Amino acid sequence: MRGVIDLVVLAAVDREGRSYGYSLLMSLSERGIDLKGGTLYPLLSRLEAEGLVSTEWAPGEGGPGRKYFTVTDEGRAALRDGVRGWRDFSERVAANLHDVGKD
Amino acid sequence: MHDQTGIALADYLERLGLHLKLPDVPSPQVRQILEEVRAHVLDTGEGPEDAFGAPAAYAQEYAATLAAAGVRQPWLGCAWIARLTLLVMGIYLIRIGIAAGPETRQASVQIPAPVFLWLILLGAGGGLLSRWLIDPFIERQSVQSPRGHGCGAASTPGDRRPGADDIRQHPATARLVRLARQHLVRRDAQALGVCRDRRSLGRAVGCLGHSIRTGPR
Repeated sequence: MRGVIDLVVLAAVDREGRSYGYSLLMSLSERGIDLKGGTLYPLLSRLEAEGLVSTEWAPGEGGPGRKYFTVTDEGRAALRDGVRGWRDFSERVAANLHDVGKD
Repeated sequence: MHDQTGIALADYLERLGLHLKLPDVPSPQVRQILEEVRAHVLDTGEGPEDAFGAPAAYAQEYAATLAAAGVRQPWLGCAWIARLTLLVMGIYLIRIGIAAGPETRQASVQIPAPVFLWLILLGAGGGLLSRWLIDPFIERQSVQSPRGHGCGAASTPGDRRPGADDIRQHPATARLVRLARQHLVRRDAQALGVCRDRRSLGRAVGCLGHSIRTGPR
């Protein structure tokens, strides 16, 4: 499941453009995925270390500094591959489960 | 920000900073992790423990994530280069001394130093300079954060005095004891190899000292 959550978060960063942690959590929540901060931030750090997202710090307006995330070209390519793989996998699963409970 | 929230956040950040330092998470990463937590809590109004869990568990998870992703202390390579170079230099000098013998020791000193000896000296000097200049610089960057953190930076409410149990149960204590044991066992056999442990030992002592000054958790 970890790979799927990585994919969902990477897709959220791609969808939102330059975004920060809280805005990503809200975006994910609107689409039915509720993540805790304790899950999101280490995951984003891993994506950053893998070169899939780039980050920059900007000072907050009277508040704390914010870390903004943007998908890199490498991240976009990984996202495309991941989505392709997920669709293939989910179609196979759906084909196997199609007749379950129809009797 | 509500006072209680501010106190809970400061307390959480201090504990998280301590737990992140113990597994040697690089200082810039520690600073960023603490800023993430601070920004998140102020944005959402959530309690830090609700959003991130216990500081020790969160630090452990984050440290494992960073280690798996290959994020390490940037000075580590410099320190190892310095140690290896010193070791090679020491072996070389001992070999010269043995080869020369007592009668010819004076003559051996007059042998022109080969080029690689100078390279070794340059390498050792460069490595040690990196170790002593770059590392404190990185540490200073961490301390100079506008909202300091780590072992001793975040403010602690009240003037609390810990009991013996608080110190005994503190995570720094266990690490301190373990490092001290490693240090004592390896001291004679691997004088160069314990440099890193000695550094960690110093850090653990510092963190423990801070916890004793500021009170129980």
